Amino acid sequence: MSAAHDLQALLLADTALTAVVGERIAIDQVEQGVERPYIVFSTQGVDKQLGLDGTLLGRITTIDIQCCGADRDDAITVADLVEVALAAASQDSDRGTTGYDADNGLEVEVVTVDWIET
Amino acid sequence: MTTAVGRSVRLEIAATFASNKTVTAISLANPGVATSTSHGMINGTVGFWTGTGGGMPQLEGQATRVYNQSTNAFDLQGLDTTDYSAWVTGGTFTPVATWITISEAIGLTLGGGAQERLDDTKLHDVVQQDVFGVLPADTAQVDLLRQTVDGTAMAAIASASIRSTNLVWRATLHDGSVCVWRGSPSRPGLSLQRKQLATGGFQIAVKGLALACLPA
Repeated sequence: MSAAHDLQALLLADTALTAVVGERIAIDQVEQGVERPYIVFSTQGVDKQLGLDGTLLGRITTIDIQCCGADRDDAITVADLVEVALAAASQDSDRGTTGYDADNGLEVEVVTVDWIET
Repeated sequence: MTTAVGRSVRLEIAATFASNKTVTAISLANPGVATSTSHGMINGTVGFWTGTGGGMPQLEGQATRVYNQSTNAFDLQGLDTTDYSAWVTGGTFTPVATWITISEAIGLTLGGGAQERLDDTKLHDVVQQDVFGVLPADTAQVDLLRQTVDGTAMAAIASASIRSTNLVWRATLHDGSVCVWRGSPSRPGLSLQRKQLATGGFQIAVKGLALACLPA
């Protein structure tokens, strides 16, 4: 399993979050016209931590989680729940940029997680 | 000749030792050649020296690697004994039998640091004349990604640090060339930073010389 799939499984297992977004938690892309709010995330980079002998000691995957809502409060609510779910799994996150997609009328809150696997 | 790189490097400590080999002579040469009747060791065997204080004290505690071996002799690969005290009597070589890999290691630095400069200026000199003094002690620095619980190798290193025990160390580079040394480690450290894997490290006070870059 990739970090993205692990993250998806983690978020789908969080009942407080799925009470708001349902199962609309997708990797890389969502279908056109999907109901809001929803979550879509993409991997920005993978930093493999290798020992001198090549042993894989850990992997840090940076993932941008876009929390998309019909309005700002909607997006913030989802982002807050994502951060709580990540914290419960001992994965550190930061709040990234916020944005408004005028073409689609989307409010977006971005949560960035450095997903650490050891 | 190949430029060394920090990948596919296996850093190990000795886990067990074979029976001691009695040595009856070591030449003053580069490299020194040991005489040991029917020693039975193969090239590449690493071990360390004890009981050499009677004739060649510079070798006491030193790790060396067997090379160019014959039935009753072997080279001390990479060790120049030309200026050592003449061998008189005594001395044993204890070969390593098995090794444990330190998989947590992410960095290794071997070296002796800056050499002391001694003022050798005479009255007639117009500029200061310096000469290098005795070689500084060799040290090794190992950088790690620390595990939540020490593995076998790190547990042995932590134990050796408390008891000031000397361990035999070997680093095998990607092309099979080897560095060997013997020395006692300092207490391994631990550093935790947010969003980072835990790091740490320790130093090794080397007995004698760290023999680096020995051909496979």
